[in-house]
Amino acid sequence: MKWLYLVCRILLGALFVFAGVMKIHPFGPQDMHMPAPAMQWFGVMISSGWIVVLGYFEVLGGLLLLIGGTLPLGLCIVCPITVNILLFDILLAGRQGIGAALVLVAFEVVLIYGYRGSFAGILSYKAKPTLSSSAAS
Amino acid sequence: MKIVALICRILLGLLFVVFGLNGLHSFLHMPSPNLDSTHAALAGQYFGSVGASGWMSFVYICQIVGGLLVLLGRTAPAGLCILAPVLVNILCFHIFIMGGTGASTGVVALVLWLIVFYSYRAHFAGIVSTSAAPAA
Repeated sequence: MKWLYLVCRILLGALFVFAGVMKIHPFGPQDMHMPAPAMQWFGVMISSGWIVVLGYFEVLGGLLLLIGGTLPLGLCIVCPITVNILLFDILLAGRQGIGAALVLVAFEVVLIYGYRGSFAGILSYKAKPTLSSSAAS
Repeated sequence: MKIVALICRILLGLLFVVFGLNGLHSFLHMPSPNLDSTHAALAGQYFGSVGASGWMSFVYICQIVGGLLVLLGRTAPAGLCILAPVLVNILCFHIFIMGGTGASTGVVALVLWLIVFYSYRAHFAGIVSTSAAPAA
């Protein structure tokens, strides 16, 4: 199973770093054939500059996945981005690119399962605030 | 400190639940913002694509669910995890689309979020670890 986690981690991290760099510094062929709402979305994201922030978060999340020890924080960054990639594909892009998004989801599900111990703290339903350093338990 | 954290948690939760509900079914009377032509055009394009598609309904539901989890207290860490990406995008929306107009509510929410996060910091030890490994 360790090999599966390693492969998922490297592929997912590399995909997000690549996608993020493409958003910060676009290179290569830029021929996008998408429905009008999707093109309008890219238009407003690019002309407002918002897409660069998204790009930096993708690079950061991807690098945290590639580093390995910081994978849980990386997943916390790339999972909300993936949810929005899915929403973009379903609501704006007419589902033509949803296959790639579902691959991301599959990698993430495998990794969340593999690193499930790291998520126990945030998924707790008996959480208590840390009142002071001496009272921390 | 205990009282401050409690008040911030309730304010943060209420803020997101109320604005999430208002997004789904408008009941607050909000003044329409004064935007220059550039940002008015951006806002028009933004609402033309994202607003018209139903994407925002999902975001409002996330705000309500995250806000309720924070209000509940026992589930505050999961609530904070849901609200964080929403908050990042609220700030981005006000900075990039609105040109800074209306960003103050977002900044207040950010401060409240940070205080609540700090009070529940022990629960985030697992995800901010630098030596995480897969479960055996």
